[in-house]
Amino acid sequence: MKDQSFLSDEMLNAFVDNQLSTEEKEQVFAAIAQDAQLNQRVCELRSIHDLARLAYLDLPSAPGQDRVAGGLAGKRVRNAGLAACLVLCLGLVIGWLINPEVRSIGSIMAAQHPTGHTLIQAANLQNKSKVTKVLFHLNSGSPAMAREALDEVENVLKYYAHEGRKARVELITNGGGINLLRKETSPYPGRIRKMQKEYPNLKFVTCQNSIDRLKRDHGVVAHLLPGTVVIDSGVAQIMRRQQEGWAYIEV
Amino acid sequence: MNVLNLFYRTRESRRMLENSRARLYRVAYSWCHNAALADDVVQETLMKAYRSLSQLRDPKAGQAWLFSILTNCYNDHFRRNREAENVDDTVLVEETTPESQTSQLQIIDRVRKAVGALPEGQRQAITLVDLEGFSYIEVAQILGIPIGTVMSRLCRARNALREKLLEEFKKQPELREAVLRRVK
Repeated sequence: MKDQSFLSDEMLNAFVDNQLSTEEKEQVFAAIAQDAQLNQRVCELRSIHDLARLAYLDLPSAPGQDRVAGGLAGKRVRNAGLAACLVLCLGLVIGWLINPEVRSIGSIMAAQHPTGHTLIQAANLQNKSKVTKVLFHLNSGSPAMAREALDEVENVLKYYAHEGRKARVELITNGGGINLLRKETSPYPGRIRKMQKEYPNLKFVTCQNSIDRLKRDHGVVAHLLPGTVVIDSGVAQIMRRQQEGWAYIEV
Repeated sequence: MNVLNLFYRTRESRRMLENSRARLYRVAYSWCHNAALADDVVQETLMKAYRSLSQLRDPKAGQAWLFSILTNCYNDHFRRNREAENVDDTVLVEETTPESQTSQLQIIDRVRKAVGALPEGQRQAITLVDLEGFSYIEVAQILGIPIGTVMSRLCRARNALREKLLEEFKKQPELREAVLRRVK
């Protein structure tokens, strides 16, 4: 067993916050792939990170806060959708803590890595006879990040096609990430169309909440690329997929 | 040319200030959990930032600079009221809010209460990292503390939240399958 004494709590937090160098990330990744407890710890830290972020998405306005620009004034608490996201988020944590099957697959879930390379290494840890299910998550509107996401998805699909193994891949987009799947804004519509034709086991998914938010905050109606799957809530879908044992990679 | 450049930079910086209000408010609110106070602190921050825009040489460094002004304004507020309360001893929890009356928002409340119960330094570190995505180096600059302190505060904050929240979440109900729709 490799010496894991270098993995302090601070180091794991830095891993979750993407503050480590590529080399350090490789080390942490290798360690958590071998150690279920470490892996659980990373998942918990990530859940705490997500919860803290979600808890302050919608805030009460200050009394007489008419001067506030940027959409804060008059914004009501979008309670139902957000609360549903949170409940599902919690469900994930419980499910993850309770379910040993998910935990064993969790070695991939815990990985947030910029290259498909390490993902493939991790995939090798899995039982070869099973269908591998990988969920990519994009929530940035940056074309560079979108390209990176498509590159990673394609790398994984190519790898499994080449090995003759079964895989299902989903690219889920929310927040700014939905730009990738909007007709008006998508930087790579041709490439997406081509990937859809080439890989029937690939799904592009987007989030209804993000579409609604776009309309409410900016008055923009989103038109999606053909073949895009719409899900009620991106966050909820990620939680469900994780419960079902999908590997989760945040781009 | 220099004059034009200066004009352009000032305009960019002003736009940056205008666009930062929501982010500043979010962080200020997460620190004090009081909408009126958060709004006041943000307003003061923006006014101070506007007055000292000329000191900002690199607009790209503007966000960390802006949040460090927020930290100063926030600390100043409590410094002025020192005789009334000690920030570190205060548990920042709202007893009655519109949210607490809505059962759907219980979880948000729980998370906010847990964040509100953290010591001041830990709360500031975790909110800057989790809500605004600042790097550890930027948080160290904003709060004026060493990066090692940022890491240890963040670590303690996450541990405290984990103990407080994840235990409660085990009691939550099962998830339901969602309905998928495909766009033709």
